[in-house]
Amino acid sequence: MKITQLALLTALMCGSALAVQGPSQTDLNNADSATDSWLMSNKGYMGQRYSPLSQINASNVANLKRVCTFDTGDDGSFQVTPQIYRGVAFVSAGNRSYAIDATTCKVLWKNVYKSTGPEVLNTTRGFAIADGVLYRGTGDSHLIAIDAGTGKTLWDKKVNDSSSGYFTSSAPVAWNGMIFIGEAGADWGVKAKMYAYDAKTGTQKWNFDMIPTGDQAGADSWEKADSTATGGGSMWTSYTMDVDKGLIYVSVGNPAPDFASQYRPGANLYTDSVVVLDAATGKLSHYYQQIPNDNKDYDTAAAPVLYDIDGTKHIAVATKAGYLFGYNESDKTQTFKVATIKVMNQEKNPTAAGLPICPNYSAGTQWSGPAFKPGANMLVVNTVDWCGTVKLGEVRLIKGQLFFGGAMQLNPASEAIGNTIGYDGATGKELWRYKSPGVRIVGGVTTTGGNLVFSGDADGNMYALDSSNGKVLFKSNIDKAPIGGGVSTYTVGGKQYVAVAAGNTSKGLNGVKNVTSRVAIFTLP
Amino acid sequence: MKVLPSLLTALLFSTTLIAHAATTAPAPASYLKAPFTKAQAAAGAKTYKASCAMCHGDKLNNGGAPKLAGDAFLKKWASNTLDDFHYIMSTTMPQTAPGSLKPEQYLAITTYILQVNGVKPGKTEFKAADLKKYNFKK
Ligand code: HEC
Repeated sequence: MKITQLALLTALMCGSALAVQGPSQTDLNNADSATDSWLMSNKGYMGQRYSPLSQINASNVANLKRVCTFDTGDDGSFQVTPQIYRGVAFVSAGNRSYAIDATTCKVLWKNVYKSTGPEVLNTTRGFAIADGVLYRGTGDSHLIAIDAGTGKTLWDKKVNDSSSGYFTSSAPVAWNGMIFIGEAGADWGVKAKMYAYDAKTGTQKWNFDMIPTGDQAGADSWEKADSTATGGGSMWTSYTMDVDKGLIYVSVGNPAPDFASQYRPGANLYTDSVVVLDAATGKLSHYYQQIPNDNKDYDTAAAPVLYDIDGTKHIAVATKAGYLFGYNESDKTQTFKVATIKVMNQEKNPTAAGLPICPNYSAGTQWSGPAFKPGANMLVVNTVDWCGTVKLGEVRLIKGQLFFGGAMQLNPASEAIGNTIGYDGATGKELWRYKSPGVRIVGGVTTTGGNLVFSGDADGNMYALDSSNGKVLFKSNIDKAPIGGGVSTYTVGGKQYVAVAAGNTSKGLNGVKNVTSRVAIFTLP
Repeated sequence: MKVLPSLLTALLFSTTLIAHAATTAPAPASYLKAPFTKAQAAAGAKTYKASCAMCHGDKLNNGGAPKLAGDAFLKKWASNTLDDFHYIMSTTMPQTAPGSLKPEQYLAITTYILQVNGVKPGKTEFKAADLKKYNFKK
């Protein structure tokens, strides 16, 4: 009580900025089931993207009305889910971070990061929030801490050298005074690591090599030791945790050079894998590799989801190769592997003449992973059916440039089919499928206690499906802004709201005629 | 057993490297001296407008994608030959259909980029063999 009053008083005195005290570790531990917040990019540590809220439900969602829009005025990539704490929505877009009122879209503060090194890509997937501080990565591979109440930068640490292709696009995760983040940049020939930093000081606590060398376990999966220097293995999106066991689940992307696998014979651990680390020490617990010696840029990019079935913990992860994998965490076995879309020629090697393949590297499941609906034991995943041709080419490393060893051509975008699919979380059996021919679906999926599945497509349509059968119950176009971010839902003053991040899904795929990135907030009238 | 073929490739590979080093041409000259014709740059400009401008901007430095003209661009590429630049451009661009243009189109775009970066056209055409002869140093 005292703290809130003090904060209010400070806010009144300063005119606007509200001193933010939390969320505490207890708040973070409860984030998966919270209804008044959306604390992490995938809501909580388990990454289920599920809100128990049911004010907005299958019977009234058709009445949803947009109450406000916050336009960032910029058309860069926008791949965040609005993160909500105490009635404030936090969003990041490129070098900018914003706090906006989660019911009126009024801007409370804006933080602009100034890069000191070259920006590889300034894609950002959001924040970690803890104890009044936001943490995020940057296009020049830094980790920065921002005061959640004022937007002032508190500290700024360089993680790695962006002139060699390193950057930090993922939304970090905060736990017990530590901030976890890894590097992206495999396609530029980096050798990626996962890190833990001290939340207060920004001092590095541990790091873990995703490309093992020397006497590290897994080093023998690189038969040519030299090829590890540019081995790749990006961390693109965010992280999942089992806080009971203190484990962090890390999705690791493709090996490099992307298409020239003969340059790096072996299974290439820990690329295209989910790596499970002891969060306190950074030591390897176990891992699951989805593709050994990948040569099609088929990252395991989106974070896995952790869920419980009959008292046993499971994880599911969806990949760019268009597969959904299930694993049983008690005996560490694979429970299912299902193709979510058409798959073709994945087992064949790229050729100089060109090998037609499905999907292409911009399809399958990209940066948004499966959501889970407890009770129904249902996974819901977005995936794009879209083919292409992969060509083997010269391997030439030019510092800071793409290191492909070939090229991938995409079939016409009009052939892409977006999908939102419900699966049984125990067996991987398909339950229903919503399809959008000609329109990609790459945004985040959200499930709710109101029997709804929220998501959005690349034509700017936000939609709500009936989670029991995938039927469309509501659709609203967000000013033609392609939806590459996610939907969050939360209450403010006891009333349920829905916020969606819509904007350019990816610098590469949309060209310049983009609608600027925006957050749209909805509620029932 | 599995390691053998790769060792062999490595050996072969290093021999080629040595052979290559032995026959390397003189150090590359400044891009400012690269020859190309007005017609080549004009053809490059046309292809650029159709296939690249939507991302890199009509002035080559005003789209969302990396700048292809100006001081920052020249500094970034200073230690590379035009061949390195051409290799990246022709194998990764345009982004949705890398390598889909004809070889002469990629060459023409290269000359257009040189022109926008202040190089004057002349009477001699720019040829593929010229790529390795010039770098991005002033
Ligand atoms: C759909 C958008 C798009 C189109 C079309 C496109 N590019 Fe790019 N280009 C990019 C992006 C984005 C990058 C940054 C690297 C990456 O992410 O692939 C890039 C990088 C480059 C680079 C490397 C620049 C550097 O300094 O890092 C060159 C050169 C280039 N493009 C040339 C071209 C040319 C020439 C064309 C037309 C034939 C073209 N691009 C068409 C988006 C595009």
